[in-house]
Amino acid sequence: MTQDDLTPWQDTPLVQALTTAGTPAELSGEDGAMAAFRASAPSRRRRHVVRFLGTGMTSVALVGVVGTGVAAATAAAAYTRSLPEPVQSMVHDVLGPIGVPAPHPQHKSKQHLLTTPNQVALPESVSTAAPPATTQSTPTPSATPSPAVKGKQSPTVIIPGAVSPSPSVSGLPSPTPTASVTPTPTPTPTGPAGDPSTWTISATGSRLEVRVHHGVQVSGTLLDADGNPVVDSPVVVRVHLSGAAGWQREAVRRTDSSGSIQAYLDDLTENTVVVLGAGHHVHSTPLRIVVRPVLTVSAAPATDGTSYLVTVSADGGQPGDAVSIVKKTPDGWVVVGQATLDDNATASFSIPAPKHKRGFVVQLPATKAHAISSDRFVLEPLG
Amino acid sequence: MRQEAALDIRARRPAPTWAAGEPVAVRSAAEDDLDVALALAREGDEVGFLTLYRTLQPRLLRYLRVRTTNGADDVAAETWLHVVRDLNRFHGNADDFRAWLFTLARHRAVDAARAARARPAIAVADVTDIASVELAPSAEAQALERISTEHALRLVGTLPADVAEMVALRVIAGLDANTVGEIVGKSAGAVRVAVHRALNSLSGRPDVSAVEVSS
Repeated sequence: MTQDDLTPWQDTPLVQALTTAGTPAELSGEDGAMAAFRASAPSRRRRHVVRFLGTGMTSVALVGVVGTGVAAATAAAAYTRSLPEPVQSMVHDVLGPIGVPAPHPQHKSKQHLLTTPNQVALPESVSTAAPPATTQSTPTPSATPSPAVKGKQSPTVIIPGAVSPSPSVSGLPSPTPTASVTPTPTPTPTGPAGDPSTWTISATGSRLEVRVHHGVQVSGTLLDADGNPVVDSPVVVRVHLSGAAGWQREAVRRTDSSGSIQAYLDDLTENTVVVLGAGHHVHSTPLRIVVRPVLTVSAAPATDGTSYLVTVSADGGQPGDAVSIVKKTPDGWVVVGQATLDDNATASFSIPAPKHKRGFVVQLPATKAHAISSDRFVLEPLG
Repeated sequence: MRQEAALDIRARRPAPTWAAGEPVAVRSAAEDDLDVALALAREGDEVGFLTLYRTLQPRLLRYLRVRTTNGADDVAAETWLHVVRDLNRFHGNADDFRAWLFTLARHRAVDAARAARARPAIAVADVTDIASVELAPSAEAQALERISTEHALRLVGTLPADVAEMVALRVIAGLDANTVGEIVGKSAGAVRVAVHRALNSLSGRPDVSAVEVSS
């Protein structure tokens, strides 16, 4: 996305108002959209259902915790027409062709969805018919697998910090109409910290902004399903650089006695996303690090004696980045010069000498590689 | 002889409206990382999808409020359902996704408008006529009030429909001129000219200039 030709208006109240962050009212349909997303995810995706807990993304984490109750219940509840009407309607729109009914006209409450979040285990396959009415039982984390149930592990929706679904749960609302498909136990042996796939890892902060060439201390905590720290377990620090195709393994740390790890990312020169991974598809929310370039402005009178040669050096900028110099007038900000950074991250401008001492602003707009950066300088009359 | 010292170092402080701490035009982290979020969402990652939704839904809704007279929320919800359904088949980067999302929304809006014409609604309550809304408050009120997103959308809504849509796609949706041109069937140059003129026109209004922004 290029916004270069809109730079003169980026600072106007109109554009700011049009592009300001979303309000809660504008995001009021989030639950419905998330429910549809969960319901439409193919079976291979469900293994990745929320296992995040990021301290810096509390809202996301809360959505994960509260929403996971909905997530956990959504697909199955959809078959029992137990979802709130709008959500049921959305899920019906997506999964109607495979049997999810439309909302019941007398639907009343979604309360049970939130009060029994850990009761639901979604079978791998989704049936094409509504499930039989079943009673729900409350699983316990200490339940042992029933010897009668063996086989492939069922993907389950795990609530961080909550009890794990019992593998022996038999009264779950199964979306499958056939008796041959039964929720099966988790065959993974559990150690002192339990099933690793139920661990959660959090990364400190959700977004950091640093000056170019500065570093960031990244820390995280690995907890088991009961909220206890997982000690001496490897955690991989992966980074994604802007413009890069994939993730790089930056470091591997072992958790200390409090389940924490720390890593220092040094000399950051472009926007970076960091994710902590503990294996078993357990990873933290992305920690975004935005790098702010440093602008250096120098000016000297040109040989014609009527203008200045202004040179802008952008440490952290990239060749081709647009740079603008603007001045404020009674009518608003006016662009007096635009140029792009050369291979040395430098741009030159010829600015007519002002009649009076005058301030200018140089701006390097944000790109995917760096944040916006601006600086102010003053030119005096020549002669 | 080369004369230096034209710079007043003491004056090199952040300009009042471009404060160094939070520049107004800084892209949000979600925008910076939409590529990552998209990749995660396509893998079924809920946080990735949530990032996409939270980043784009407000802008989608604002675009639809400019594009349609009513039912923007319903059209937006239908658009996201379409996205959810076809996300597996989508190929491209975040910019492509943004273009796809707003193209879907536009098609849905057209469908909704056709349906509305086929089944005209009967107003049973007072209807606010946008054209009658006071757009130029008094100087006193202007000094006290801040421009809100709703007010800004109403202002864009005063533009000719085709121009308003181009402004919405270019500014609100954040699409580049080429993409906007493809969507609305005009050249990129025509889009740039129309958007620039519209922004100049709107930014020069007395009720828009020199006021703060509130959401």
